[in-house]
Amino acid sequence: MTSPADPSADRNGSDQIFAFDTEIAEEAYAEEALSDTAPQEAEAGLLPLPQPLPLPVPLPFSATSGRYVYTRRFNLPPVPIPVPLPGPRPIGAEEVLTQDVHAAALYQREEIQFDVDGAFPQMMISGTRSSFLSTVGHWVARVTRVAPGKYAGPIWYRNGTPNAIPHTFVSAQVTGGPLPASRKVSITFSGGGAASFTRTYAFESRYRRKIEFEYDRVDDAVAVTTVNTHGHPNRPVTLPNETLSIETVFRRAGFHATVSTGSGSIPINVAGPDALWTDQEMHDAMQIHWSRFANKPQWAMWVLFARLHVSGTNLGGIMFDSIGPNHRQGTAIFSHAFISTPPAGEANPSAWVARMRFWTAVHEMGHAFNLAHSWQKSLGAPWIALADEKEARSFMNYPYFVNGGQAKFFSDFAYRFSDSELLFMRHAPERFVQMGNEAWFSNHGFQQAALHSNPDFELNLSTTQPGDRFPYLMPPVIEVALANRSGRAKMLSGARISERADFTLIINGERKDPRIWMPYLRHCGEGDDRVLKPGEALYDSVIAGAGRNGWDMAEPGRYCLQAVMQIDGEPVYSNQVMVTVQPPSTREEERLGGDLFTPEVGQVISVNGTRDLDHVRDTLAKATELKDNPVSQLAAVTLATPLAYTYKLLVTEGQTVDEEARQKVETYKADPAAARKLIKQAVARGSGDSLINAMGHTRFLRDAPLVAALTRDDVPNSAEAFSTFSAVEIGAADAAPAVPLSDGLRAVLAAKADGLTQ
Amino acid sequence: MAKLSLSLEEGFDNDHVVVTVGRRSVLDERGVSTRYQISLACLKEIELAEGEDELFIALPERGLEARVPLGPSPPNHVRASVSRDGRSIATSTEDPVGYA
Ligand SMILES: [Zn+2]
Repeated sequence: MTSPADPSADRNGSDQIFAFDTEIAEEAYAEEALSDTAPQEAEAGLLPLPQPLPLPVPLPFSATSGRYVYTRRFNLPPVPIPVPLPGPRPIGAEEVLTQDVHAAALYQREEIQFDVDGAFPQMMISGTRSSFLSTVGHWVARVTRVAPGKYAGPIWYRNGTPNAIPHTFVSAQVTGGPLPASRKVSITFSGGGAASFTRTYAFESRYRRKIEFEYDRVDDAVAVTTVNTHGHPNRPVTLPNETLSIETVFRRAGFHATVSTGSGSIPINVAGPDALWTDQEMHDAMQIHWSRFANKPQWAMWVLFARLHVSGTNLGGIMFDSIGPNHRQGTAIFSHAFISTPPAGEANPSAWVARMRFWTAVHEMGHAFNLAHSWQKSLGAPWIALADEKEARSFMNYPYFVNGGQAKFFSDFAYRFSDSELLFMRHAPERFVQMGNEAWFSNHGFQQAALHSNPDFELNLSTTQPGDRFPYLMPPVIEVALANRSGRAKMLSGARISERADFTLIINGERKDPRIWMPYLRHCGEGDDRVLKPGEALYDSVIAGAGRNGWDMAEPGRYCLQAVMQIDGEPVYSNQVMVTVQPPSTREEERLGGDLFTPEVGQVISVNGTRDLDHVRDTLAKATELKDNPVSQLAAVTLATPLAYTYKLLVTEGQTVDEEARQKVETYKADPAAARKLIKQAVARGSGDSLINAMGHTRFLRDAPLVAALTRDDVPNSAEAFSTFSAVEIGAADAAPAVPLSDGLRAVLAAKADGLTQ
Repeated sequence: MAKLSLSLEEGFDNDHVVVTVGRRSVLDERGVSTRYQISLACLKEIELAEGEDELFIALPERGLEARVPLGPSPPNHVRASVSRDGRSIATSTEDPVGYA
């Protein structure tokens, strides 16, 4: 079995190469802050020096993350007539339109957050579609890098008007010159039963939003808004030495943070005669002293540095604004609370205190972004089910709450937010994050790395080839399992998974556009409903390499495969499988490619053989001679299967205009001896197991009685005679001397026979 | 006289909370709710008298109770949280250090 693709593997992908510093001055500083890892990589000699590059060139040669925008021009009709994209496409391939025909009437503008490189990339693309008056829909896709400048993956989150985002998959290509202003992202939306379309977005900013912080300090308090990251010796060895500001922390989180010119000091008497602050006093002070106070949603925040809260030294800071209708506008840090008392025996007390005050300031400001404490992510009303992150080295965790205490926390604290927090800040619907908007602790957070997938089911893709590597010519076979994870019996369609209309298998080649795999055949009927007990699964095998689109995986290279299907109206996303198609290893393989990669051969393999089409059978016969390539086994089975029974072929004659078309049935006698010989040779090329793996498990199970029958004298006279089967007959197949199987594979096949889809 | 600080932390949601030491009521408040931005519902400093050897916390409306023995050398802190399943009160005498 193949384990689900690890999305973190791409996190530090090689496409974060060099940051050009060609932006306007305002953003240039921020660029430096965002691309903090670039200089180290350059020093390591891995990266080219920046130099002007001809246009247009495929990116990336610099960080490409940021905000991109598409706006429909006014002179277009409300629902433009879609135009298929120019360029050749294989016969039968899905049309990709230039316009979103499904939801075009709903919105004029779409803004995307592109998050694949720069500081702490989350490998996400999210989008917000809006009309002149309101937001109509929001989506988030998790993507993997499939080629330089090219990213693809499923949409896992949707919010807003139903049907505003019918598609289930995006594929993005970055293009443009070295100047960010010329940079563009083209995204193809596909899947979900909606017409695919491609749209181009123009670069606007490296950040999701501009945000303004106003720092006000009370006369008797200490304000800490920067920290020397090497000021305290207990730190990660890899931590860069820098003077880090609060604004830079938030720039690395995706916001263009600036400090308000209204920042200043507040006389102590505002706190009342006791000089201690209550939440209401701070809320009052915010209205008077914050130059931007408006009691409305805005990307701005008031930060008060005060000495002590009325609760005493136990309170280091508080996001006090859960008062009134507009929450999270203001936050406070108490410089003389416990955060100013180093632990007993601390050797660097002043550095310890400075760091703790800095931590507290960013922590409280994080609450104003609607971030919950690390160990409380699952509480309250998270946007979707969240996991607690008790050991996170995040600004939102209490340093002294982790195993090993504050010393352990700071020994590997990188002055950052956790991935789930960055995901939320960068990609959650804007109103959940923006200050003064969604109520505190409502819709906070985003589940890290989890698809918004129907939780009752698990859809798993795997291959049986070691390392998911397929030799040249061998069409990749994907084993599909759909398991009931609901803990109770579930009723669902027993129709063959790969032929269900709501099953979408997406193939993303590193050198090709993403393609939706299309089955050659769709069997009639929905299939009887099946009751699936808890933990039980339905199975299918798919020759993903060949389909009605042609040979989508013929070219050597890496392909990312992922499937989605709808169950009970909710999508179930599969894991991603990275499949490698190897280059030809012999001249014979290379030569045979031209004959084998034809639509007819693909179809014959997919439907398991024919007695017609001599040239296809000649090609398959040549393939059976290949050594060390399971395609020889697949070809042999394809040739042998139609020999196992009396084969009837419908022949149409007379196809000219003058001649009336005539149809007749030609009958080919079964030739079990020849079939047996082919199977025997195929097994000898590897093993019984490798032959079944080459065919695909459920494809074998469906044809097993045919193969078993090869050992019998009573050759049935039609394929339909074998159309029912059972695990007992699988046993018969196993008993057939032609296909000796290992105990392990036999057990797998027995399980899959129970969950075989029709 | 020993001082004890009582922290009511997670899981309080508009609760009626009653705290006694010995037979003395030290807290009887309604509408106690955790403020999740500081992970704290209530901080209470309690002066302990001689012989007061048990702290008792109750949420009568939820039928929850917890008893913390104080003994001859009482702790500096008692922290209490309603468990995530809402069925018990968990207490600890570890120093909370601080809230933020
Ligand atoms: Zn906090």
